[in-house]
Amino acid sequence: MPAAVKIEGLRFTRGEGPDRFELRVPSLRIDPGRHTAIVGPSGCGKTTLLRLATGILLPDAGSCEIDGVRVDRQSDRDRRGMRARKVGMVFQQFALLDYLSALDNILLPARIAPGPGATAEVRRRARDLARDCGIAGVLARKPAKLSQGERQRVAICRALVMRPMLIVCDEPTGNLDARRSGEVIDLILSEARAVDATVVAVTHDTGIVGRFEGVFDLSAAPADRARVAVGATA
Amino acid sequence: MTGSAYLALRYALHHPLRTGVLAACVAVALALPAGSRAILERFESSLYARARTVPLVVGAKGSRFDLAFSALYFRATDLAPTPYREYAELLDEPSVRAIPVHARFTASGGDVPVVATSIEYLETRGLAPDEGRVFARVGEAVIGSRAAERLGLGVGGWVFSDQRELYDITSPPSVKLDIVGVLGETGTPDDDALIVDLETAWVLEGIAHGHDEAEEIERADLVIGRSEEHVALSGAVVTYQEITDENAASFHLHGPRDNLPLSSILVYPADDKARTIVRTRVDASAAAQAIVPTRVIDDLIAFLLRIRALIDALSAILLLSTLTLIGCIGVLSYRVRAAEIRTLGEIGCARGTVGLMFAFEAGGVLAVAGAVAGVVTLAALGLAEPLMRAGL
Amino acid sequence: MRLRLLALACCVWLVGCSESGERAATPTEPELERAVYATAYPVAYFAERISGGTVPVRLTVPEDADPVSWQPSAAEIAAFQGARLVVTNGAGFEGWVGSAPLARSRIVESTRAFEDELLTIETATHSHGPGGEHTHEGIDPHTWMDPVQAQRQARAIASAMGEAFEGEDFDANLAALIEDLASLDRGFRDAGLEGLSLLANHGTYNYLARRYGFEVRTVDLDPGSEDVVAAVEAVRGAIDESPALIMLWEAAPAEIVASALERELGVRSVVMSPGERRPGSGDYLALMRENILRLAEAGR
Repeated sequence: MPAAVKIEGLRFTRGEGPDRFELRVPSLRIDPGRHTAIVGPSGCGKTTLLRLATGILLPDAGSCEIDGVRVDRQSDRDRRGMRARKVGMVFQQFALLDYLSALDNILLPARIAPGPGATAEVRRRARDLARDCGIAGVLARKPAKLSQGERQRVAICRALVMRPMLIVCDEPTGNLDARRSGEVIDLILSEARAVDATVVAVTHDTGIVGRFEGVFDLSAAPADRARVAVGATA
Repeated sequence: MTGSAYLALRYALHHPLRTGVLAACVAVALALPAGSRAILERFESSLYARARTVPLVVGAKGSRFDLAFSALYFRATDLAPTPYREYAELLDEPSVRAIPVHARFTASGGDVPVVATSIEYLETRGLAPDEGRVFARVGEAVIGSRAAERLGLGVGGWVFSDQRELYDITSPPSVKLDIVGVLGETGTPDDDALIVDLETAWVLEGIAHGHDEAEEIERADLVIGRSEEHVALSGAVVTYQEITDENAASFHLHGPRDNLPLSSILVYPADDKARTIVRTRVDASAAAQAIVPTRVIDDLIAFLLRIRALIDALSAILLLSTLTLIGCIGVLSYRVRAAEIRTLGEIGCARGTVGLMFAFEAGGVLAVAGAVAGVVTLAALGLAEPLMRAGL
Repeated sequence: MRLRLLALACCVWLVGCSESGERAATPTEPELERAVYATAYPVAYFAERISGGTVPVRLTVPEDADPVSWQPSAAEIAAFQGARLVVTNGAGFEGWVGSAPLARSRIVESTRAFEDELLTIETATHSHGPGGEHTHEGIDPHTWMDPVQAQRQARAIASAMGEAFEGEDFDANLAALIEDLASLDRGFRDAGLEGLSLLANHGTYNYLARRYGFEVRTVDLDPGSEDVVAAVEAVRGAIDESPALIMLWEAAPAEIVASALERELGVRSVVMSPGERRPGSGDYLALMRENILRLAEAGR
């Protein structure tokens, strides 16, 4: 069984001189179904790593695989297709579309992905997810009329609706207090577990790291980041 | 595909003002040229359709336009009348069908032109009564379908002709015209007219009148003089204003028929030879002219085309500026929505899908604008129809 | 986007254009009854002879009506309006035709060609206030009484029928009619009327008089009247002015009047029917032949 996420000898640079940013990840492997947190101080490249892993960014060197497929070798079109099919994303600012209702936001991946679109089955799943997340009553509202927490849940539902094998979360609890953060993480993890999805979450919230099965720390010596995520490798 | 269309629709509906203004701008830019062209086109084809029905019009010398519009659209003009003689002479011409028209009168307060002509006019124009019959004597009239509807008149109804000089008591009085038939609709100016026999027009002119037999008038105050063979009647002898079956026979002309007035003569030569004969004959006349209605319309249209060219130029500028506006809004919109586009890309939305979304939005706005422009154009045409009828 | 725009503009344009139905330039031809409508018996007879049965000839003036004063009803007018050809005597004989709403191009006025040669008779005039006096048409309409004039009328009718009924050949029929009318002419010539002075009960015989060189004076008498005294008085007055031996009557006068005129004044009564209406038996030709016979007999 291929790894859900596998990174080897990755090197990624941006900018020149004092602004130069470099990310090196000698090796990272996350097995299917594992829930992994990526931690590290601000600016250490946690989000960049996620983007590289999912093919949004391309590395200067090294390889990125998802589900055994070399993402860095795929065309832009294929990478987008792969994300649409296999990856669910929860963004830091939720990135909901303000002109869509909560339900339409949840259904967005179905609508834009190649395929049958927002079928009845997908809609039922969206409603089930919304019910599980406690937002069944606000599905008709647009983001402007939703509370912060409700938006968060909509974003989570959106990430889950296509039953992706990998769920990628970028600071999913960034703006929440500790109690709420715990709830949200629990929700993501339990929903992911229900569909056997792998979860990779970037966070700097140490309070929730404990809920993950593995932790990958980017804070240690950037130039010599050869460690593998604790417990993340088999 | 449906997804991008759906998103485009959602976006457009989320910003109704923006979408509305955009659609309205495009609609105006489309409706102006389309509407003006359509109206002019309709105007033009309606003019030509009418003009083509008459190969030649003979009438008094003067404005060709006046003559054409008097003959085709029954517009009262200042043109001198043409004597009946011209018509009588054309009647003698073999291979020429000539139809006299005297269209100087109106009825019902100027509302309806009274077209005095011969039964051949109805025949030639394919005008047959849907109801009732054609006129069988002086004072009887058939009415066009639209005029009948507008005035609420049917067979058995009547209408008074308009007196031309209301305050001149010596001018011929208005005459009651009995409606004996309602013509089928033809979509031509005939639908708006009251059509009577030529003889009736001469009653309206005061040239023909009816009264009791002079010999039988007993009242001394009405007879100025009486001799063996002559009875002089007072001007106070009341001429009939209402023509009935009983007094119709008493209507008589004063003066020779040859000098009686016509406003125009419609001429249908059977062939080129007959046409040439008519033109030669009329050209030789000092007072008459022969015109080809389609040529007159050609000249009119040439003028209208210049107006259209102007409108077209304005429309082109308007359209161009609207397109620029749409372009600007498109670019701005793309910038404003950059974050959204990035999110969509990260979720896995193909580049084409995003493009399609924008295309659908623009297409939708254009489609709505086009539909609005279409409706506006049709409405304008609908409004133009009565305007045209009133204007002609 | 521009393409779409163009397409839209085209749509709008087409909607605008498609509704403007254009009518044919050629005039509509009316559906007309294939028949000749005549307004008086003499011309009806001519038309019947010319037609020889190929085209129906209808004389719709009622038997008892005077063709001069007859006023057709709307339905009767409608029949005339729908006829391929309307044949009239003209010369003011059919008073109603002038003002009737008929298709002028389908009327053949048989006396039109010799309008200028028609005789005028005096009738009443009247004037309205300062408008000037006018005389009601005073043309003698009995043109067909003169068989030579009748030939011209027949030719005019035949020519119009030839135009109205394409493909029909009326030449032989016309020739036969002309020959019959010519025989009437010979009959009148042989009757020895030239230079005679005749009386008549009505102004019916002016054309005959002009053609055959006799004088005729009208003594207005009603053939139906049995007022012998009045008749004798009137005729005496006339022959006192200028002697006459024969008086022409449109219809047979009362026997006592005729015999009194002959006995007391030596004036013979001769019936000279104008044939304004269809005779009970025979036809125009027979009627005229009888007229000639009676005239010749009286002249003897």
